[in-house]
Amino acid sequence: MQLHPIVALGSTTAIVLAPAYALWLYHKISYGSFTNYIPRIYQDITTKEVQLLLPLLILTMWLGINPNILFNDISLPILGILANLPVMGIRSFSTKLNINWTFISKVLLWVLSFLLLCFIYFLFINIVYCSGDMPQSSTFEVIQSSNSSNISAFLHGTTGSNDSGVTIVHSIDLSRGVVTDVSGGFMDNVNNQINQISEVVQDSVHAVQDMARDTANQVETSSSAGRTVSAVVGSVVAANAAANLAATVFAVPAGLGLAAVSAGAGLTVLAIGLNGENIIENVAQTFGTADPTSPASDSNPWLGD
Amino acid sequence: MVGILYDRYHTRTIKYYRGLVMIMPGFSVLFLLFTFANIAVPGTSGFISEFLTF
Repeated sequence: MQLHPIVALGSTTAIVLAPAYALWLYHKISYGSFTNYIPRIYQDITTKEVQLLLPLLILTMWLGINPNILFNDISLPILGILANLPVMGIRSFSTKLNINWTFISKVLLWVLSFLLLCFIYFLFINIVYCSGDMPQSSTFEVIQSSNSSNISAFLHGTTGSNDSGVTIVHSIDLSRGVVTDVSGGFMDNVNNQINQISEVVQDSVHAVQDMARDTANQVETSSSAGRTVSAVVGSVVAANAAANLAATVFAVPAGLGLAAVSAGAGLTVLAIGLNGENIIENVAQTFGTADPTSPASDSNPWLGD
Repeated sequence: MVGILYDRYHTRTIKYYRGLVMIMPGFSVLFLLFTFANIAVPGTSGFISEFLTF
């Protein structure tokens, strides 16, 4: 080691970079608001898994605190190996090939330092701009169906997570049919079925529906009267008015797991307007795969072909 | 540790994971301890191995 600067450079770089990556990994998967891309499973680490991992942890700590339990056994053989080792150092090698290792190691040091600085800079940018409540968009499309349970799947997108699974649909892009969800809310559980929608929910939906229909009629210049889904509006204009109402009326049936609340000032609320009396029969909701790399569909599922 | 996550969420893509502290606090604590062991904080065996490197 002391005779070979390249090995020293490599090992030192690994020693520096490996903790950086480990900490970056821990930061990525642990902190921030909960992701939308995986199902929200409330299952912490089980006793069986703790029993699996605890011996590993104890052995790690034990060897770290008292490494002599290992060194007492291996020191003598290691000394024997080191004493009999032929010196294959850098000096004999370099005199044979006449290579200026000092220069090469300096260049390598500069290159590695530059790469390390780039990495740290990237890490900094990543932490500053990609942590916290960065808006994550998840696309979904509204399809036409008469299945009476799917709409309740939409309305109860937070099924099973009554207290903390708050769904806030932020805004909707009418040109592309993309709904952006900034709340860190949960847009999965599509197939979950809720059989009952209370009167309060229906009233609140109708109230938002009226506001949405007004705005949607302005947007929807092309006639799509035949379509069942007539208006889906999340524009800021409608939402500013609807936000207050929606925050109130949606907070009431929060016991059902439905909450569309504009908590912050910047949040907009998606309002869904529907034709027909029975909203349950009108709209089925299918959420997409929420793949961040998947392109949004060009067709507008709400406003006709 | 990754097996525990994969057992629940069936993906190993780091991009899909975020905010596990809220859902799995015990896992996060254990994962932090193993991360410490990985980055060779003194008191873990990784520190001994890296100490022997020099």
